[in-house]
Amino acid sequence: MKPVVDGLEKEYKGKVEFRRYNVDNDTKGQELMQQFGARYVPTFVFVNSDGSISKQLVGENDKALMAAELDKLK
Amino acid sequence: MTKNSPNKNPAAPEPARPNTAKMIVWAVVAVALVAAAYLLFKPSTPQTGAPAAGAGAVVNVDTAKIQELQGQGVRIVDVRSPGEYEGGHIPGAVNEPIDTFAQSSASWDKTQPVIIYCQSGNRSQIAIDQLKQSGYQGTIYHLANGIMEWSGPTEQGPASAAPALKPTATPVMYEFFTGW
Repeated sequence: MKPVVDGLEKEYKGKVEFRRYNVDNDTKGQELMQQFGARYVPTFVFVNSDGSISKQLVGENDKALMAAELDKLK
Repeated sequence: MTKNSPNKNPAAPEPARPNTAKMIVWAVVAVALVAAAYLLFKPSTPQTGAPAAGAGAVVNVDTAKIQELQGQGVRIVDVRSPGEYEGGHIPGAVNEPIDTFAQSSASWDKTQPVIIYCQSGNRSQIAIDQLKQSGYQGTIYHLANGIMEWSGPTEQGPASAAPALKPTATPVMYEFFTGW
């Protein structure tokens, strides 16, 4: 998953901010993850710039699917 | 000369039928035991054909009951499309459209109660079936006839973010992962 997300991060640089949390050791990440109601890793939460949640995805997803969700963000 | 039907030679040994039959019986029993053990002990995976043991009870509820449950902090999920949701939804409901419901709900805490509804009860029933198939343990409350039977106030517009997310200059994608 990491190479896919790395690639997307570069592609969407300036358009979407990627905030990535290793919840093994990041308490802020753990807190956020709980707030989103996510239970499993990896979980991806797509949030519009007004703070509304566009989508939540769990598990490995292919690049095309993730890109589609990133494109929907406003 | 009379034709004699061939006689079985009385001295010929009996075919070893009893032993073969026993072996077959044991083989069937062994296969059955292995199959039973597999069915009992296989890890439950989502989208298996049969519901996992202990699947959550489904309870039909009305407006008053839903309001009571919401007061207790039970999550409420609207499985209609985003357009329908934004047109008017039960206040506090989150939108998880039915077409991606299985994937969205995979990250839920399966022991928690949840309220599910849609427009008329069809899509919510599908969502409930998916939850049960994935081994959902918590009680599933169903607004059986959908928001059409809701008599409380409704809220319009997109979902408010679950955590208090401040607006940002650009949209954000959060990723939660563990060490590679």
